[in-house]
Amino acid sequence: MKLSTLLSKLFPPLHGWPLIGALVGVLVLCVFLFFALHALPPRARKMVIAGATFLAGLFFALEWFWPAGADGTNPLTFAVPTVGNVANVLTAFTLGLGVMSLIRIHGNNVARQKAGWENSVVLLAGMVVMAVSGLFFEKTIFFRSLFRDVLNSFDAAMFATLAFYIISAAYRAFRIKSVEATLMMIAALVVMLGMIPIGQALTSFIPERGSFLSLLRVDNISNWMLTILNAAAQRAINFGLGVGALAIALRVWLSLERGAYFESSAE
Amino acid sequence: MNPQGWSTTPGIWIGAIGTLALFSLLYRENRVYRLFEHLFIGLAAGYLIKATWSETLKPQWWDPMVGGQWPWMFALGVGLMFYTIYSRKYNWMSRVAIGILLGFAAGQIFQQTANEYLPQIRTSFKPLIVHQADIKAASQVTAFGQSLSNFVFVLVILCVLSYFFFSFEQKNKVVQASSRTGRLMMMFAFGAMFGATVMARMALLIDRVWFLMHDWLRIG
Amino acid sequence: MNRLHWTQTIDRRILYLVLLALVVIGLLVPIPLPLVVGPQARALYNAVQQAPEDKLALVCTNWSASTQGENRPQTEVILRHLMHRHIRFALMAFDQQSTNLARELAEELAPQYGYVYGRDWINWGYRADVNGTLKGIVLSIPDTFKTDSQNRIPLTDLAKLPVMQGVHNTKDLSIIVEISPSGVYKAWIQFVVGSTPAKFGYGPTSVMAPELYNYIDAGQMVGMMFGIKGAAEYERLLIQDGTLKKPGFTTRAIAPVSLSLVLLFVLIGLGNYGMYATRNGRKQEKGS
Repeated sequence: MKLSTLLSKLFPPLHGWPLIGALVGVLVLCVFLFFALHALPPRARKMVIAGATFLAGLFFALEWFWPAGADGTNPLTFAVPTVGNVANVLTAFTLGLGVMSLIRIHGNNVARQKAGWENSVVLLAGMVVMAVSGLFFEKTIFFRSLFRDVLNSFDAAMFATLAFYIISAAYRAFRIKSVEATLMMIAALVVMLGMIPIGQALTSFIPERGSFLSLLRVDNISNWMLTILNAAAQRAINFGLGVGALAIALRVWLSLERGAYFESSAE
Repeated sequence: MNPQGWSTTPGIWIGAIGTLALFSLLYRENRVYRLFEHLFIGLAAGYLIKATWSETLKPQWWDPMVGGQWPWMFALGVGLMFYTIYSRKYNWMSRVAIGILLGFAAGQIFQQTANEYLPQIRTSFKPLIVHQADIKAASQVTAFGQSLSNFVFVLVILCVLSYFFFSFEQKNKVVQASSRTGRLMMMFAFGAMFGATVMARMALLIDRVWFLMHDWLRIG
Repeated sequence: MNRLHWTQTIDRRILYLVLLALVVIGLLVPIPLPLVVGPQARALYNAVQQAPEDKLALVCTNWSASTQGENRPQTEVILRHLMHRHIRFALMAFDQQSTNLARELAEELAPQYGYVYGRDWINWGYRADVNGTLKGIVLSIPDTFKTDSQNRIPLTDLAKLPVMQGVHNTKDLSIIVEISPSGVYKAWIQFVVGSTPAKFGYGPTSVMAPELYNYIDAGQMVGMMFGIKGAAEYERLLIQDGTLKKPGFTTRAIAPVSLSLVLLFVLIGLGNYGMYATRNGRKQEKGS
């Protein structure tokens, strides 16, 4: 019997009262498991955490390594979309953590009338207005304008200020005091001149192709630097990152990682 | 740039005033900036709530669950474990839920590493001697030029890789020279990234200035 | 104090005003300079131009309002190109704002090409988990997304969504283009690229662009648009092939980009000149 068939027999879809009963039953089971888990001694708790991490990773690792049949699938392949949806849903649940933090901090500001509490009122009001209009009045022009004209404008404006900061920072901090800084500046200058029309115009009198002199066009030099020097350096850096990522992932999967989060006692 | 379907004049006015208020930080810290900053954060958080429910939780969890797929209720149990982080007594349980997500991500590393890096390793072995017959007809590159480019490419990869050998002390002069060369070659990459970063930031500013000029003030 | 000391201590607010002035001038005054189309943008254009017309194209947007200055023009040129070629397309997003921003853009452009939602284009919506979603669509798109984002119609209901005809998984796609300011392209390469004959193109912000040459060289990416400049190059190609009649905002934006980069280099030069001149002045004072 296929695994997918077995699972569909174990968890058949329900409707009406049986469904409500099943939902309540699962909820009661979750509550029971919650308190049962909490009753575990600290050592067992660490094993539960490590076990959950390992099993979650085992599915994808096993699905990748298990040889595929003639149709390109193995016994675990059928579950990949479902497990992907589970990961999606669990990730969506985490997004509420940020919202809860905001409500706690700013609600506290308002309750205790700390300095700037009026701004916290504005924040909470904005959150409620956007959430309510989005959830219940999504197709109205009010929500669409609130999203497009207000939220998007503010979001874009916050990031647009970075342009000013980068100019100021480059002016004050970019000092050519070493060979490395000189090379970096030359690379930046040549690559950017090759990108912008003002720079490209400097050598626009040279034919774009068909002549040896074409190599001296700033856009061709820029492209060569990007596709040869830059690409090769990026690839080598990438290899280093890849090895590091593999090592970290294995350590996390096997719960070998140590550090503030992983070491703090599960008590 | 703003299509009339989603934009309104009052909305554009609020957006423009907010943009100017947020830009006022460039002069100095002020209350108007703080007010609009908080408003922005509130709107963003509200949108997060809306999008999380209507785009993910409702169609992928709630609707299938009330439609008959009762095992999805377990996802609520695991999902609520994240929120035990706020409880001093139960916060260890949040690590179970976080561990599950970390496990999902970690388990995929094998496929990620194989699919991303094996083709790159393969294509790093470029031919150092290129024949004219190997050059595409439409290409303007000569065989000598391509050979030189390939040689430089491979050399840069090897030099930069040697820079990251931290497992042993680099006493050998060849390795030291290679490492130093790799360090210098990386500067080309960082210089390109620096220039590209400036370009990116400027584009964001240009978008906002165009909004103020064209959509709000009707100039240009 | 050295008389060149001012070159290193210009008030930042003056710099901001100069930058703002250059941007405004660049937007208002057309600067007729040639724009050379780079090989990466041309490669992406060619890939879309040669994409099979009878299959569904996938445009994944991952950008929010914070990077719309670069990513929106990139999305626009890709959608225009697809619609000009009468290729059905699907939108999906890994950013919450993006699903609405891309949808709004598509709704703006669709009437210009006679595109109808459900028949010619569809919005699959937003997903929080990148890896799980991509692994899912490699096997089954309807099982991963279940319904469309706008009307919640099951993707298997071909009567209401004829755009989904013949679309089961990534093997049935014509071309995949991701427009994104983040590193999501890696997930596409890791999970999807090897599983489909569809080519993968990318529209990053300029910040990301230098690191992508590595992937283009390895053949994992067919081409890309280098930020807003790449979008302008792509727009140039669309004008040449008749898709667009005249340049849009994207081409206009290149002038202020150019001016601001010139300002950047002038300021860096000024700062360094001041540093060395001041240092030499001090040495001379000490010597005498």
